[in-house]
Amino acid sequence: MGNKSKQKQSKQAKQIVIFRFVDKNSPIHSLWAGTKIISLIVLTVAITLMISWQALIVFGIFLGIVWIISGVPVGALPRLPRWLIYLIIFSGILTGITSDATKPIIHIGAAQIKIGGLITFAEFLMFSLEIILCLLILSWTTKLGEVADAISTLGKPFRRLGLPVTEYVNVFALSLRGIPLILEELRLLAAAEKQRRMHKPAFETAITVREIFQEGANLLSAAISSAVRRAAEMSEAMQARGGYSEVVGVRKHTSKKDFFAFVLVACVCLILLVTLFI
Amino acid sequence: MTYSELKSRSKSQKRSKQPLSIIEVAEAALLGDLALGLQLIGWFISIGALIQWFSVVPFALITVRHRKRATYFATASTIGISVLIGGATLGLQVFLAGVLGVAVGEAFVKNRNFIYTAFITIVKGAIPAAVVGELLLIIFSKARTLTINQIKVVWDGIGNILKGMGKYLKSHPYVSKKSSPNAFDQLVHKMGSGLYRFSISFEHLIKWITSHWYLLFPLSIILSMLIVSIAMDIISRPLLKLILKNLRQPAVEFRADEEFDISFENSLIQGRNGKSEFVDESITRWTNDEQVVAPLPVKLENVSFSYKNSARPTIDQINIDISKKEFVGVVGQNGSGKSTIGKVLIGMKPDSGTVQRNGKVGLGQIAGTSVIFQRPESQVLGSMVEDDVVWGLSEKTATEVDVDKILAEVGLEGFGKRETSQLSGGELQRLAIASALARKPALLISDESTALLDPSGRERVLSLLKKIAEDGAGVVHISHILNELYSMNKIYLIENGKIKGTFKGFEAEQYRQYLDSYVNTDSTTDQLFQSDRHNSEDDNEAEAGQIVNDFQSNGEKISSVSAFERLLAISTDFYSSVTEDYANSTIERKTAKLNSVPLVILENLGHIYLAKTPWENRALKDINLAVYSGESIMIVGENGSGKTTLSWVLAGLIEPSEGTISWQAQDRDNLISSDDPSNDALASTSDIGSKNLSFEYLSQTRSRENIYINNNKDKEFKKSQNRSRSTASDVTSAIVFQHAAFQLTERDVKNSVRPIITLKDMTSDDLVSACLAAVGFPNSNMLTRSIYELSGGELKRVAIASVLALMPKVVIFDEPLAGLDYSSKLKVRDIIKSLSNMGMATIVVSHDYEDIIPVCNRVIGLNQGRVIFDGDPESWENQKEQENGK
Repeated sequence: MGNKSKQKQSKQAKQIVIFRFVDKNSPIHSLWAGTKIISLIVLTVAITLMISWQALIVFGIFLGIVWIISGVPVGALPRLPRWLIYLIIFSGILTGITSDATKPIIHIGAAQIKIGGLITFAEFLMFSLEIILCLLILSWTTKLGEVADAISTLGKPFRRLGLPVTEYVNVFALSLRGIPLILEELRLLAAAEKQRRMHKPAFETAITVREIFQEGANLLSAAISSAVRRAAEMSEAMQARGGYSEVVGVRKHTSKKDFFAFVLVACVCLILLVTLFI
Repeated sequence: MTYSELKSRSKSQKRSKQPLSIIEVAEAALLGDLALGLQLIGWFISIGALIQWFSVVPFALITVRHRKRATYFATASTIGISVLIGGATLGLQVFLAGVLGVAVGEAFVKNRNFIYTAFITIVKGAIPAAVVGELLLIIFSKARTLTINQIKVVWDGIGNILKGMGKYLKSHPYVSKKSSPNAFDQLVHKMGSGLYRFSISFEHLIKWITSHWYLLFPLSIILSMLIVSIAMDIISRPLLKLILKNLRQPAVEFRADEEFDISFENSLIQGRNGKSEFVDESITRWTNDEQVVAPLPVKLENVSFSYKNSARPTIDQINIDISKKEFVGVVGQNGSGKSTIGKVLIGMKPDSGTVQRNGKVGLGQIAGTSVIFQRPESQVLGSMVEDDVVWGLSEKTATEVDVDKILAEVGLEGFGKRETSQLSGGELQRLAIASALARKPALLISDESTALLDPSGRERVLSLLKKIAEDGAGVVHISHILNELYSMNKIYLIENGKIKGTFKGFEAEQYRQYLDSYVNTDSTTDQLFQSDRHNSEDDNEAEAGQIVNDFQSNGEKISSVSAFERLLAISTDFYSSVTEDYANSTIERKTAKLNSVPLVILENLGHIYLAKTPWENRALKDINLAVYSGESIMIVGENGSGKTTLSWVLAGLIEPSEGTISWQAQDRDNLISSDDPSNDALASTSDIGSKNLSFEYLSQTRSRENIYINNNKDKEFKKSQNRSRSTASDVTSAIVFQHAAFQLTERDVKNSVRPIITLKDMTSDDLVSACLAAVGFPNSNMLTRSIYELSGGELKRVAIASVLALMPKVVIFDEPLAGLDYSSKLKVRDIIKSLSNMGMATIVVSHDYEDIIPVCNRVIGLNQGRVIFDGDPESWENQKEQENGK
């Protein structure tokens, strides 16, 4: 064994990647988080309202351009589990071959292939993927922390309507702060549990379903105790700073870039509207 | 008191329309996060969909503990975040969980049955969701048509396949051709026609469903929520009971420090008896205050205070005065009452005695009092560094604060745009100080703020505090680390709630002498004061002797310890050669190593997190190590040097992406005695040795013949190697995590220590007793104690016992001393030492070099994922000194 090469192929480690910022210096990154959130909402609503092949293509091109400008490498895309990819391919084939949706019929020699189902399927898939890509671009180019301040500012007009914006903004901001802490705790809890499970002495007795449930309940209880305790500590810290206030963070003013972005988004919406009449 | 009474009590205090209290905001935010976390787990693991439903429980818990308003805000903010993270689908799931949480929680509080839960769910959740959903479907008609078409197309496809199969089977060739079809053919024919008819009606059904979506969509929502609500009601109730029972008790992991851990009700926010007893009641906003804020100078005269359940006063007749520009230390062992003094200083009303101030305390107000706490990550409230500095300040004040200047003052220059989750413990504590400085405090109280930091972080925080005092504020540093306080103007030494000594001015020498005498008179606080390196080595010998004496003087102890050894002997043979030496545990460590066995060899090991993504992060590279039985290794390195990854890899929790990890002494069959090592085996070993730094190091201390090699059954060996590489079940090392709470999830000690799967030929009680004895709890009364009654030190030891019950050969300790007081530190250290004397290998990952190194005989230095040093502690220190010299 001594001389044998031990270089194994580097494997893709399973790891949770959510809302992860890709550190690049692009115009998209430097936009105010609020601009990006508003654009996201407007664009998704627009595409959902005006969904069609033309609209999907226009929107897809727009997203592609934004992605290229942002400079985020393709590797940032989440890796879908194998079974999901197979499932998508399988259902695509299923609908493509068997569906009754007849409209476009391709004639290859004598054979007729009805691809109406396949087209519907592709349209639906493309729509879903574009919505997901929107969210991904937001998460790649925005630090989670910037969102709190954006929500705080965006909530301002609603204050006049008598809505409890201060409370919402504070719970929201503290929630954002808590996400890395809670995820880390869940990770440790899972590791401790994994460690307990993987040590199987040579002679083992079976575990019952009841024991599994009990174990699950204990884990949940441990996670909740830990979160509640964390909340108590954080509220001590909040108290030490004199309680929460109406804003969470330093005001960041929007720049010309943000104005330009809004104009661009409006243009895209207009084009989408035009596609309705093509 | 029932929960409903509790609830009504809290309700009478706060009307439902009042803004959320601080604790409600905090719990809403963090339990909402937990619900989101449970949802996200669902995406990433196989049984996740099941786990997702349990996100109902955090929301239900908020409803039980607080007003419904808190749950609404928790749900709303979690929906907001989850829409950003996972889109509308995740948002919808969170919404459902929130509604179910309100319903289940309310039914639980009001003691109603599942019908009530279902009713609330339908009224508050299902009907609004149905209406909104219907509206959305009408507005977004194009998306609706596409979705319905898609559903139709898929089901049509399935229907067509069924139809085709039916047709084929119906006209089964044998049926038509054979004159007399047999029973099987007839059956096939029947099945075929049945299938055909079914597919026809299936087609009709799909057509009907997709054309009546406006009716079926709301109906299906209501019906499914009805079923789910009843199911979740049944599942959640026992869970809520269990959780509330556990929450009654102070949380497990934070018992290390004293008063702050006395359950939530006694904490700073709520004061005694769950009510706010602060002089300073106006915690909401500071601008409207009429009284002047002037926390300093303050004079405490004969101040006493006792918590509701304690027999003796926590603090008793305390006299303290603090004025501007003073850096004051309040020191004492855990449980001495020092934190309670801190609470009096920030405005808690004492039972008796007087507190004189010129104005009000002004907690968190400009020119008022600021507090920084022990746990770094819990007191940083903003996600971005610059947001945290101004957290809680009004909009106007916040814009006036020069954030960059303050950050520069605490040594965090240019950190403004960083995310707080990326900072180290020391950086977080300095950020907390920066946030305090943004308020230009007159009085700054540091409550154990250095307890969880490494020495360099500790030093920076202390010098910062001193500078703040020099700049004009009064600074009070409360600590149990007695030797960090030399630079203070005044030191109060607290013991059992009383002031044991006051040292004014810079009286370091006098203080030291006092401590020495203090140490000599009090045997329990032996070693209270940490001496320098050489002394501690001598002490170490003495301590080891002490353990032996303990074991010999206590018959029961001896028998239980040997029970643990027998246990080890059962599980694997190889301990026996070393365990007999345990009685003479003062033996030279090198001798122990000479008789030992290589437990694990790491070859060219490397690990990359998130390979091939923009977040690719190489944590380990070219690690070549061998760990031997009886060794006690300390892994040192900066944050991010790969320490944690290495220890997780060793424990089998992370599968390394490169290289191999081989467990040499897997089991008895693979063990061949040193008498007949095959030549091949020797050759191969020396191959490793020649390229292996640690191997060379070890060969200096031991002759190669003593190495056990498992190799004349080459195939089997390879098999075992593969196994150890790929499956987790063979791994024979385990981690003692920093936070005991994650390892002790049951309520009592016995069940917490008991492994999930127990040995057949040994009752689990024996195993548990033996493991507890090995961590210094020889008596059986420990078995039945509740986890929640234990002190921080005891808890840590029970956590170690729970790891020992997994029968590891290598025990890895992650920051084992963090947050413990000195006597507990000594005990944990003794355990580490005794485990390696028993023939296990112990690996300690820690920042506390000085505290740990006396029990370690090997240091592995990591830097950027590579081993930069591997050798004995003396040469490591020499190397360090040389580096410093340059």
